[in-house]
Amino acid sequence: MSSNMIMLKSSDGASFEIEEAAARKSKIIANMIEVECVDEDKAIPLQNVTGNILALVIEYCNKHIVDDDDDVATEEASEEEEEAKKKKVDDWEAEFMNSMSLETMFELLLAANYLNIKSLIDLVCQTIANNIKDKTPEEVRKIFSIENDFTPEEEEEIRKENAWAFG
Amino acid sequence: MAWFQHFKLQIHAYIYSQKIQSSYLSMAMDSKACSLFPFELWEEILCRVPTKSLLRFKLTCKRWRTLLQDKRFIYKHLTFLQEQIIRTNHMVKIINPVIQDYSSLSLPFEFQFKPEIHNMVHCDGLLLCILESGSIAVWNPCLNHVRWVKSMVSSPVCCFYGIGYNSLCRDGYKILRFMNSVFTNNNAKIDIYELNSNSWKTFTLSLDWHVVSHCRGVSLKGNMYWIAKRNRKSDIFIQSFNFSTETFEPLCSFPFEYVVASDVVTLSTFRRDNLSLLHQCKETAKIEIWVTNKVKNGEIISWSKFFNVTRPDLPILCADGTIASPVHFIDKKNRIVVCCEEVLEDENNVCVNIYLIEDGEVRRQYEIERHQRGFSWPFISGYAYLPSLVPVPT
Repeated sequence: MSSNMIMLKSSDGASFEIEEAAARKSKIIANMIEVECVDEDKAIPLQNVTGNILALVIEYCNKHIVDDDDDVATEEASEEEEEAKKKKVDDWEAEFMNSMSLETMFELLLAANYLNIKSLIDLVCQTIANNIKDKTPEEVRKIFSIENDFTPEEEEEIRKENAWAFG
Repeated sequence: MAWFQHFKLQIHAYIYSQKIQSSYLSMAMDSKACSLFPFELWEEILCRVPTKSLLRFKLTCKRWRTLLQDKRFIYKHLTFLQEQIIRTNHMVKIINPVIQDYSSLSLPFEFQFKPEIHNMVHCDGLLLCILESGSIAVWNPCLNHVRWVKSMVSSPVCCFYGIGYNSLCRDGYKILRFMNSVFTNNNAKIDIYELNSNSWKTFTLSLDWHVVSHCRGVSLKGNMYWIAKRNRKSDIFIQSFNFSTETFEPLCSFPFEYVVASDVVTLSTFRRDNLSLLHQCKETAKIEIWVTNKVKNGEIISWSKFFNVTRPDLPILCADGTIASPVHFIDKKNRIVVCCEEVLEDENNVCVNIYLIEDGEVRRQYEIERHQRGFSWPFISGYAYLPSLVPVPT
């Protein structure tokens, strides 16, 4: 474990130590490392991410940096090994997202978006998509506090046009 | 390593507290948090939602409906879609064999009381339909949109058809129609129809090849591909039609020996930018799947063997005159889906089966339909299809 460690600080003041390579999964943090944007405690301040969410982001980055290292070590891995490894990551991601509340998922998505971690944005968006796909429009409105701005006539028309999807 | 342990503990404590918290949260989210949520992230989420759900979500609010009808969003959503099987007779069935989802739609009003659909070609969720009478229509089954294509000459059923687009204009769809047989090739008439301008143009070409019978053309990245045979010669190759330059371009020869009279070969797309061939040798019943490594206009491409299936429980695919030819596609997780017709033991009836093949084994098999032998209609067991929101150009 020869890599550099850096400190990240959440908006609510929690500090986390993380390997630089893992932190660089975030384009924003990578930039901040380049320009040495640190506070008085030598920590990189992340004003838009709370501690509990930053902990999840770090867990994700650590997991994926380990995978990247494995790739380098076993460059000549067979196809089956590659597939087994991919399955392991998929299983880990499923477990990671499982039991997370919708609210946490949205906060995590905001953080991933702010920190610019493409693969985490993809993972969270896909999980939220899977969570809402079987809901009715009424349920979606209720969960996300979306106001229904259709007249009953307009609503009727949309229902009629897409009748098979409501069946 | 002490710091590392400590750090891990710290993280676990955080996650634990957060999970406990979350179990108390109700499903509804904080309305203030919702209102602050950037709309472009909704776009990222919704482009990963299946089409059927999105059709329902049009009802959520006006802003969502506008997004779901926006062309940029629709084409982004298209890139996330996974192929499914569509089959039409008096009803329309859209089957997702991987998650075992099945939707049944009624045939659009425009197709009812009409001659039957003889053949379809798929591009971006749009189906080019050729009716037995020779009429042509473009149809999006999910949106229930049908547009008839006016044709000055009636198109004989023996014509070949294609649908694609100019690479410079993503929704500039065009239809290709050409006569193609060993006898008419010296002066083959080629018709191209542009959906946006609603106009036909015609030219003649001398073709030294013909599409092999039973071969269905596939549309890939806006261009058409068929299995073709050089006239009076034995070489079999992939023939393409480039909709940007409006020319035929031979692509590459086959990676295996194909006994046209007995083997079963089906052509399909692979991961949206390559082609795939399924080959079953009649003698051994062994199934091979080949995929191209690169398909680019004018460039030499190569094939690699993707899959070999030699298990004894494989279906015997067949393309004789009395039952429909099979169709296949490969999903994101490298599973092979095959839809085919099989004759039942009584020799009088046929069932339409879908097989899901993974790691060289048949993982699942479903029967989706059963009918009398000789009544195969359409003549194709099904089509690989992307249920998209792409509107039929008006």
